[in-house]
Amino acid sequence: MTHGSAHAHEAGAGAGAGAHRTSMGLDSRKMAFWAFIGSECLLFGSLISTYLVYKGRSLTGPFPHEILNIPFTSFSTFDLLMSSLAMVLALAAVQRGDMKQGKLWLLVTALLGLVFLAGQFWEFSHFVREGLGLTTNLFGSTFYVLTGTHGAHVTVGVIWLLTLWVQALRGKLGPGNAMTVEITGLYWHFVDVVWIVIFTVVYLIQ
Amino acid sequence: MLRLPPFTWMTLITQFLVITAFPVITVALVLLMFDRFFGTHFFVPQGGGDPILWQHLFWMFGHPEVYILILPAMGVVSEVLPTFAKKPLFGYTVVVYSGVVIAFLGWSVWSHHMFSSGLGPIADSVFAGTTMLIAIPTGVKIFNWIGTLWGGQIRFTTSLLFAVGFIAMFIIGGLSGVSHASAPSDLQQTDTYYVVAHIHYVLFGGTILGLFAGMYYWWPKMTGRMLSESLGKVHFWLTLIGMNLAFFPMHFSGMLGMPRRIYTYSSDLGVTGFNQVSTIGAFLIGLATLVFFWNLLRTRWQPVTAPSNPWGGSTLEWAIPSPPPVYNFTVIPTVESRMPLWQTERHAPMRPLPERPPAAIHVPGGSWWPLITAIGLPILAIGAISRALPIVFVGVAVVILGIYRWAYEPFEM
Repeated sequence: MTHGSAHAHEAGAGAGAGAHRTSMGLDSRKMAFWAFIGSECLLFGSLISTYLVYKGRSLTGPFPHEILNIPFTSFSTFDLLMSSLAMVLALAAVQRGDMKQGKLWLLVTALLGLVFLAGQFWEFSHFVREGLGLTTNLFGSTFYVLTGTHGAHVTVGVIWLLTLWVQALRGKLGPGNAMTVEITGLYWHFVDVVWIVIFTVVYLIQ
Repeated sequence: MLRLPPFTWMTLITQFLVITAFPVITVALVLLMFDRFFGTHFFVPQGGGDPILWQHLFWMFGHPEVYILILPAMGVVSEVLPTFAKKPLFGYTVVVYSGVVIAFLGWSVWSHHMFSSGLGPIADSVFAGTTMLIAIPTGVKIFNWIGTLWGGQIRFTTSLLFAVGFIAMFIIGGLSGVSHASAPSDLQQTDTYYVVAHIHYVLFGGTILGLFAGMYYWWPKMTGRMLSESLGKVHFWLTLIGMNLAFFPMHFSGMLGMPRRIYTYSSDLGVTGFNQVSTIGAFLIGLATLVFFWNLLRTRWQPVTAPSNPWGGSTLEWAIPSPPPVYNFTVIPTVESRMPLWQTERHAPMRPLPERPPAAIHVPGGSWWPLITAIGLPILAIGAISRALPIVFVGVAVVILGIYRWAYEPFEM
């Protein structure tokens, strides 16, 4: 994304809020964010490992195959993938300075994230009604903690996107801050990729 | 990047270990918190959970953590030795890459803390093997430090004494460490004072002596005041004698069956004498530390002003006044060698920096939000430890507020 960093430099001269020049040719905020994503990989890796270690070791039901609803969650997954597409469109719009489109796609990304969260809320309450609580069995504990941590990450992302959207409405977001939007996008795509792993491990491979 | 000072290198490697190892203990602690607060059974056998998983998660963090502790100290020693031997660090590149190799291998050895949990012969053999492998880059570093001293014009300052003490004590700790790497031998040593002896030789003899070397080396740079060398030498010898009296007998008492983490023991065990020597040593260490604090306080009451380069060091920090001014470098210096302040075969020493910056300097404004975030964390932790869920939520709210405002705070005030 040389395009994006070029803009960041222009902003650095103009707004004074740009990044320092680095000898790596990589904006230090982006570098820091990739390091954060590396750290997050270990966080989700530990949770997914815990889920896999306890797979099939629940003493009482309900068991995964009795309760997981693949068609419904496939819709949620599709919704999240589409939000990544909207995020790409938002970044492209902000980078070319089209803030009208930028505002639109930021809002669409956040709304798609909210739809995913609503789906998760419905899924969790449905499972509880079916008799799977947090403490019912190991499946319940590992499932809720893993997908709940992911849901918390989506929530953070939605708040982040809405904040950017509000900043854009106030005219504080422009091509000069494209790096901010790009980093938001990195986070959003990462959370999306984690969901694809969770969807595969938890739902598809039972 | 092969012009970075070794301490900077080791700190960088440590940061990579920090950001990769801490998420694992975070998950372990969150799962434990769910067990304690919400009645899940992650680590409770009655509900099908497995305490061994706790051990795995804890040590997957715990072993990288020991390298988080030792690598910066290794970096300090790699800075102190060249300065006081008046020689470049022997095998700089190898020292740097062994640090990287230690960090990588540090991720592959965690189960050697769990030989006694019965992981089976294959896991035991693999982890014994990787653990012994890690002795290679560590040994390489030790030979490089000795090589740095070899034939140098050594000045026995307090800082150098601590650095040399580090090498000697760390070798003893490293050797007992290799004896743990062998699973059959480790089974005899698990949960005895032998393990306590090992950890203190690497953690106290290694990290703490290394940090003291760094304190005596950089205190003048940090504060602009010299520490007393004669008090420093008293501190060093009391510490060295004290730690050996305290920790060396533990090898024997441990082998005789003295268990760790138990406050009392049978007088028939025959370890009373060893334990008494350890007690005397512990008090000596305490006394030595009081001497150290006295030395620190003395720089306040009887200040001796430090010049910008009291030790004749070769790295950039010695090019600026002590203590460093608010904006440390007036211009970003061009660094052409690993020892920019020394005349070397290929490079002339760095030109002195101008006293005033050529143009106005942009300094970022301060921010309260990192402090607010940091205040939220202990609130969260105190709530979690004392099983008070509302306090945990207060802590979480403060942290979230702090991070949110911090993230959206403009760069400029």
